[in-house]
Amino acid sequence: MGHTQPCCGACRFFTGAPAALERAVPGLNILSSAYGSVRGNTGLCERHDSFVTSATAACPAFADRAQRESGAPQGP
Amino acid sequence: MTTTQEAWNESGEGPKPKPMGWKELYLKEDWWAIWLGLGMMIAAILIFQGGGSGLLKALAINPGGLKWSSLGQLGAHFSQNASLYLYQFLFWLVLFGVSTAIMGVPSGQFIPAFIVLYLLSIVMFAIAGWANAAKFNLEAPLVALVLGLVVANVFRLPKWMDSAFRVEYFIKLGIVLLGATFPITLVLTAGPVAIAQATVISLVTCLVIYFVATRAFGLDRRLAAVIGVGGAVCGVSASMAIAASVNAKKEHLYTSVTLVVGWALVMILVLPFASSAMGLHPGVAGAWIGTSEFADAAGFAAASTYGHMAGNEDAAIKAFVLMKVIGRDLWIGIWSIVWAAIATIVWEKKVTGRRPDAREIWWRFPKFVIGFFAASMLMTAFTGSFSPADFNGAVRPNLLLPLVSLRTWAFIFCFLSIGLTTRFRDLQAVGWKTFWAFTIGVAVNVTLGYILSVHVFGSYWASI
Repeated sequence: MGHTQPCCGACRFFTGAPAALERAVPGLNILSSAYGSVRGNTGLCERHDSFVTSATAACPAFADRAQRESGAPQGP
Repeated sequence: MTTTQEAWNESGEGPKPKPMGWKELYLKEDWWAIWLGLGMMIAAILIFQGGGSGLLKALAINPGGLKWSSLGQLGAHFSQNASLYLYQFLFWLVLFGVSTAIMGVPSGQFIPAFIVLYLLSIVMFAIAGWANAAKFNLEAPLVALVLGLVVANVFRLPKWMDSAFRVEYFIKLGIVLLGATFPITLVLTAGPVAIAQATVISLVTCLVIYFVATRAFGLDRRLAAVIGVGGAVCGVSASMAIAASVNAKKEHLYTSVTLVVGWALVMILVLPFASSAMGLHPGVAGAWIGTSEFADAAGFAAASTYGHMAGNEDAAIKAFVLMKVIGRDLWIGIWSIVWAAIATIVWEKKVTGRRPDAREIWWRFPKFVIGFFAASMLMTAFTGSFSPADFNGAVRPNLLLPLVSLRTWAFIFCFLSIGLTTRFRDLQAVGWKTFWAFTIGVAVNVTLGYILSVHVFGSYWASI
């Protein structure tokens, strides 16, 4: 079966950049790091305040980051 | 409320998680620790072969072994070697500045903050090099930690300075460099014991925290899983590794940060003195610390401190590395897929929904461990051709000791950074139930770790 659904990594609510993640969770960098391999592609969904991976299938609240950046209409 | 996984649930199939691919080789600090560590080692070997070990020793200068007894003596050391310290500062600045810039850390923030870190490290080495330091238990890791905590919490350093206080990056580089003085034969012979002990500890601690949290206190099972692996494996790193597997909330990870940092700091201070009070062999204490501390950096601080106190840092650090880095850290990826399986099969997809994927074991594997193995094998192969006399007369002082000094610099950067990044006001308040669930797990972990390290495998660790 093909996968046509968008993924969380393409959503504007997804925070995957390490510096942004360390800002989002104060203290994360004390004895850990968002730059390390163990994080993999885990990021924070700001919409649901929960952790997902960039490859997680998007939910109905998906808002395409690329569309937003290009000024095109938003998703649901 | 809509879960992030609804679409996945309805279709019954979701996209497979994707690795970063080759980008990981320059975007993750694990790989940079390997490149820098192995690069330094290979360069050191080439310089040694070329007869230029004076350059290597100059680059690795530190006042830690000075044993000064007057400030005049210390001042004279710095005035005589000012240019060497300048070159060394530029050496570290270029290595860390370039690598962190490629990873996305703003250089405009990194450079001024690293200047502060380097100057504080000089102060640390100077304190450790005082002739009476040992008499007052002024062990470098402890002093660095306390100094960092005071600076961060009294003077309120701006947050942007954290850009250069890269605790994990420094400890990973230090561990790769440690591989240069770690015979591969020891890794191969001791590894199975370490993995066996780590397996018992990891399973028992994680399950105790999880079941106490859910069954006794009725806490959210995602929170229980996140703090369970935090206490059992590798602190916040492990918590973050499984966070997506169980669809943990942001507050769950934040809670893990508070618990792990709080208990890790307590144990950095308590474990060395407890080991000393019980007169433990440094190798045994290193194994105990390796089973009891949550994070590599915190454990290194404790093991190094006790090693200094007992007069055998080498044994304490080797046992710690075997136990923690080789034994427990290997569990990170395994727990990630185990919890993904539990969440999807036992808790139902609606709660989470990420399918377990065996490839996660590799994707989330702490890659710097590969650098440690590679360094160990490379140096074992290189030094194997020297006679004992040549090894002790030439290789050790001209090649290995400069590498040990560079490693010590990386560790001091790390220990200071722990304190400098720990702002108590930033930590989230934790509920009593969560606190006790984690604390009971800590108690079980420390007790079981003591029994295994001292009574079950004690003679083994003492022979390290």
